Amino acid sequence: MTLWRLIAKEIAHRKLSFALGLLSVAAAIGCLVGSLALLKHHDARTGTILALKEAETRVRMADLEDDMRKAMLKLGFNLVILPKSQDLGEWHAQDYGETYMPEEYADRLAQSGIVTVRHLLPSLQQKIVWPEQNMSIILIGTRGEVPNIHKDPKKPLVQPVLPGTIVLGHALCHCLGLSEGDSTTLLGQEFFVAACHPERGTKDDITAWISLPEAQALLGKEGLINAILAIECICAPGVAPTVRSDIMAVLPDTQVIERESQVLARAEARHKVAQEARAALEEERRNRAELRDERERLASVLVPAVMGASALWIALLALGNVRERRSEIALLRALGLGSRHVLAMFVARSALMGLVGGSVGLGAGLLAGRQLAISTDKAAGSGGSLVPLAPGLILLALLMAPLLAALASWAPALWAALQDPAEILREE
Amino acid sequence: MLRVEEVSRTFAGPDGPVEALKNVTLSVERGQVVSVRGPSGCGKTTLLLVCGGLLRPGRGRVLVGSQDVYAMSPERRARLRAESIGFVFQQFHLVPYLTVVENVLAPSLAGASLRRGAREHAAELANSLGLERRRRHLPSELSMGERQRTALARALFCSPSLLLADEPTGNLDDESGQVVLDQLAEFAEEGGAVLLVSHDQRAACRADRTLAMRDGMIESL
Repeated sequence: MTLWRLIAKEIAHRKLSFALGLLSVAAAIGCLVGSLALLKHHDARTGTILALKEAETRVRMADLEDDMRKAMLKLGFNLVILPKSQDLGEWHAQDYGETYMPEEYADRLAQSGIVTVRHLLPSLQQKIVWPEQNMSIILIGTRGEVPNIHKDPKKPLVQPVLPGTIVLGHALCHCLGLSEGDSTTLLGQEFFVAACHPERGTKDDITAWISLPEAQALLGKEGLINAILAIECICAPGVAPTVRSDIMAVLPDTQVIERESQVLARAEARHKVAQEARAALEEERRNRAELRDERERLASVLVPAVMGASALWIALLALGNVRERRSEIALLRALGLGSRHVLAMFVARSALMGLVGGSVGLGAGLLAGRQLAISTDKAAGSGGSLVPLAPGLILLALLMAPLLAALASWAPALWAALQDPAEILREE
Repeated sequence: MLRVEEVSRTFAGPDGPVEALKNVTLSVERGQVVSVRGPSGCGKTTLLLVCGGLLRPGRGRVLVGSQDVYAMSPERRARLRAESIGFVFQQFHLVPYLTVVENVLAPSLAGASLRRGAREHAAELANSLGLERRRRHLPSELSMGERQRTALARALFCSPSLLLADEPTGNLDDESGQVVLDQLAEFAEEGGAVLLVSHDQRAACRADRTLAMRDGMIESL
């Protein structure tokens, strides 16, 4: 006969009392595990929801950025960098300046590491009378875009004009009867017509483009330009106001004119949408966190309350068990069992109750947590599946149950151990 | 085997201290059955509990063999009970959820007779007391006589040298009482010592020596 066999036989004899204690442990552990499972599921669900929303926002932002880039490219160059001494009144009146700056400014800007400006196009522009044709035209010398050396090469907005060739606006081709492949003379130099632009309805129709070095030579402005055209890169919020200061930091004796306010308006709209998307994401994050806090608060009240009630119930059952078994305690002591054996017998009984009850509670808690998760997910319009608990938590619950039961029954077990067998035997 | 030397024991009562034992001195040798007779409340059960190491006397000493029972630590005293002393109670004190054989085996919980074949030994004891058909029965399914025989088998399980019996025939009919008294006598014949407290005349007749007890005192030796 061993103590465990005695305990097993006693449990079999007093099934109801044991079952009542077991149920209370199961309720406590079920409540704990269910709460943990639900919170874990909530965290996982929050992660999924936020990841989905973040991915949606990223796609939306990428679309907006792409849209913005296309819009800006369509709008063409929106920045003009002029020499600082250029009179803006005169520039607006003529659409070109009569003050000049070194051509190497474009290279300096390209090599400066500036990120807010791209597609740099140095140009020399002047209104002249085409002496061979006796007509006023705008002559633009351009060498093509200067690449930003620290950025990926972009497809140029404007193709360079090759030396010895000329590109003409619609009105010039039409009036002079010129077409692609013809040759013509400008300021005493012969050029092949590389392209005739279709009618644009702007000053481009009376403009002739030649290579920058040739324009500089013809106009007697070697190494000089009077404007750098560029595109303001509005890739990130808050960049626009810094463009001017960025350029001025590299080229202090220049001034910058922003030509296309539409771009800014679009950029602002994009930033607003981006901010709203981020705010929505934050709102969702906050709502989920609040919901979690609410559930955690409920669990932090419910779990200790159920555990306390369970412990009290186990203590009462253990007390009843001790009272019922006083005669047995006295006999066992008379047979030579020490008080430690008696203590161990009652504590072990409760620990066994805790272990079995904890296992039942664990299963029930996981099942209840799963059902709750499914029902809340269904209410939220998504399929439910419970996130499995970490093995450590399961082990903790299984260890906690016998510990809870053993602690709850400690006082009655101690009382049993301290019973005076002589007193009981004399009474009977 | 058992020596009780000038033992006194006082209990607190509602009207002041009650002297349950007053200067009691007695001895029981191996092979002897000593009977203590007296009216209810004279201190017989208290004497038995003191002799069994369950109730410390206020004064005097108790020797089992050569060992002073109350000079020992509680653990050693418990071991002494497990190994050398058997108890038989009027109320049997059988564990209600254990079968006859399991009840007989109960002393092995304290470490007594943990040797192999303990169960067989318990079964043999039950058989020898006429319980062979009841070995798997619960106490509630037994007659009073069978219960007391089960309790006696349990007391004999660890082959004690001293048997303390408190009114062992008190709840039994004549026939069953006789069986129990025969067993006690047989135990003494085999070298054991028996201290029997009872007011049953039959018990006194089977004893080698009978002591009278009144108001906590042994009146005649």
